[in-house]
Amino acid sequence: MNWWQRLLRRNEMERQLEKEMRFHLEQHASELIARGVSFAEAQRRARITLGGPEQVKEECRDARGTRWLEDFWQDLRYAMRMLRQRPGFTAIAILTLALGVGASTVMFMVVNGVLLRPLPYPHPDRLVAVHGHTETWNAKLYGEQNVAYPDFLDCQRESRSLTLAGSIFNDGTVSGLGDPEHVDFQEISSNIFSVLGVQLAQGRAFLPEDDRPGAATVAILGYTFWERHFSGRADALSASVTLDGRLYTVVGIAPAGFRLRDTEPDLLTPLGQDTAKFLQSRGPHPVGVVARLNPGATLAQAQEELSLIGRHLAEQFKDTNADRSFKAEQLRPHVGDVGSTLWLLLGAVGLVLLIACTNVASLLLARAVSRERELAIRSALGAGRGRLVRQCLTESAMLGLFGGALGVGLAAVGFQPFVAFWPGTLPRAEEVQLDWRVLLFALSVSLASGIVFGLAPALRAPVGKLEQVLRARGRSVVGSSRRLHSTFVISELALAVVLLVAAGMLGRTLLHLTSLDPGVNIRNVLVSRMALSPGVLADNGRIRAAWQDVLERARRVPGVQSVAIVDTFPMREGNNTLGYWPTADVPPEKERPLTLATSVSPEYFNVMGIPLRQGRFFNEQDRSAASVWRRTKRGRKAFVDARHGVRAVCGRGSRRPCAALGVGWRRSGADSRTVLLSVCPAAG
Amino acid sequence: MNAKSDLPQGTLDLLILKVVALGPVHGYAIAQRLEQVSRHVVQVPQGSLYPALHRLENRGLLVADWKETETGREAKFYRLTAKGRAQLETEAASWERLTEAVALIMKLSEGGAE
Repeated sequence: MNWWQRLLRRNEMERQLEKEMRFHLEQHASELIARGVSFAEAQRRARITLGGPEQVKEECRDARGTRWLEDFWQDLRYAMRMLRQRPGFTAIAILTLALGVGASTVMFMVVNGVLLRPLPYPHPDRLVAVHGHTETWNAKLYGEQNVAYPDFLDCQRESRSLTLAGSIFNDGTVSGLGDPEHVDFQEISSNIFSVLGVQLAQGRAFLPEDDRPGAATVAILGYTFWERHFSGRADALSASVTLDGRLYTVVGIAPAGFRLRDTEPDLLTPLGQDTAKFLQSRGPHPVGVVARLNPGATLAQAQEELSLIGRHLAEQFKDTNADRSFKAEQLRPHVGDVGSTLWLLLGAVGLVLLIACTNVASLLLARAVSRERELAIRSALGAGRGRLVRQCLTESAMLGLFGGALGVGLAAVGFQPFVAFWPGTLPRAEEVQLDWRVLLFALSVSLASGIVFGLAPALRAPVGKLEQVLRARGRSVVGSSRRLHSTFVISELALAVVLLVAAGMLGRTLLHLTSLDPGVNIRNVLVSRMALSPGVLADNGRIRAAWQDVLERARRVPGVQSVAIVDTFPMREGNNTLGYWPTADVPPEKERPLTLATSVSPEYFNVMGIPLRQGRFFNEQDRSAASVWRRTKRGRKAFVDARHGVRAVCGRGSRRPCAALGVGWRRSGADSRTVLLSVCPAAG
Repeated sequence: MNAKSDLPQGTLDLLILKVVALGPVHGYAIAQRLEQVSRHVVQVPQGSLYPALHRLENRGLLVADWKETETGREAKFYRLTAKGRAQLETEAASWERLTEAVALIMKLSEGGAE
């Protein structure tokens, strides 16, 4: 018989035990009677020889080895009865706990989804990110470097320990499916789906023969794009999509939620078909590389191999690849700096949970006082202190579990609004789900809180002085209980004060943020995205004419006051950087300070309401000039000289340097980094 | 009664296994047999007999079923399992070795005193 069978057949076991004992006693007694002992005396002597049937039974029960379980079962049923007897107390305690556990669970779900869950690919530990590497590059500040396309091809061909796949970002205009739409697409090497281990929702991935210049133009649709334009119909396969004037045949649909380099692409096209100049050179580094370790290979081997390939390339191509190498790292989801915020919030809801626990502990304590006599009686009947403590803990652990179960229910419905309310976008929000980690967390949190709030009242189980307790009639909180109660109230207040202060500070920061002048007036400003077709891009004159045409036509829209073109919209996107030098001598490229740069057309300052502090805005005649817009006073000094007025020149590589013409600056700013506006060569 | 010595630690199990090995038997009969066999020299407290029986049953050395006695009453009869028999053999062997060793030492000490 297993222990659980013995447990389930407990009544049967008891009955048999009773019968066995009775048989023994009767057998013994009847033998004594046969020898002439009187009936009563025979019974007495049989009992004495056996040593007390009840004690023997108790020892037999101990011998079964399921004693603790039986006690536990008994405690559980007793606890259920006690909780049912006081529905008000039970409901309040469970609700309080449910709020605490629910809040913690929601927060943990977010932490789990964003920070803890592995990447949604099979064997994510075998996936590797390959970055370009130079000693002078500060990856913490500027992010990891990508890889030049020819370098990528060399690594892909020569590596034995890695299977490499690459992708580049691109954007363009899709036409032929209703209104033309500006789309973000990515060009991918044909093996990227197999490297990641992702199955397409429909159709096929690209084949190696798709991945060369001049091959038939094929595309894979992003799932959202497919639903938007084809309503999820299967006839999208083998349909045609016009991207930047070229016809692409759809061969596959990416699975729902498929993300590449933290974005969901609208379209995917083969990288090998792209004959753009910047892909032929080892100078620019546009390709993001993921790789899977081949069976048996380790990350260290892969790194060694990549370093070797890097050294060879550096020798071979001195002007582009000197000091350049590659770095292999475990592929991790990119979540930015949201981690510290999330852990902080988890800590905050942890405090809320602690407050809930203290509340329930006070309730339990008040009840423990009224139950003192009951416990004293049980103690007098022979229950050990450990046994009483265990019983009290079972009761509070059950309260904790009930509260936890309700809390998980609350969390399951509450996490979606929470994620939706997150200011800005929460990275990996789609990964926030109820999984076994969350359930395990909720279970341990509720059990732990059950034990935490149950411990103090449970330890009050009477030891000595039973007599006094039993005689005492008063049922007020006295002596040590009162001290304990005060401790609860004090710690609760302390926790609440900490939370209130933190919440107050957070609120103040939020208020500050909303009242902050960003230096631009975005009221009634509308934004639309747009790309010129590749045919136009071949000729500078046509580019200028095309943008002028766009501006003219937009100006004619009724109600439009002013129109401008900008390459990156403030505070939303954009990490174009330029080196600048506020001195007459041009410093070496590596020592130039970097600043954020935005290319705009002249009317941009009107559209965005940017105040001018010094100098002038540029106009249609300034072909290659910059207007410096500084947000901080300190930053202003770098560009403005008291005697010479505005002076700053900037530029990158071989481009003609631009001279700064004007400065606008603000004392306060959400972003103290330099924002610099140079004339868009296309619009100038 | 006081002249009887206590049972050495751990030997109760061995004695029970030995008695049960002779054939299916109920608790009371085991108690009686033990008393007779040990000729009133060894004190077997009846109270510790039943916990020991239940423990052995729990460990799978004994099995029990309910059968009628010759007087027509239902009693719980214990039998040895294969595992119990193996256990009995190893325990009996080790008991023998122990007693031999003790006897040897007792002789030695007598020799030393001469």
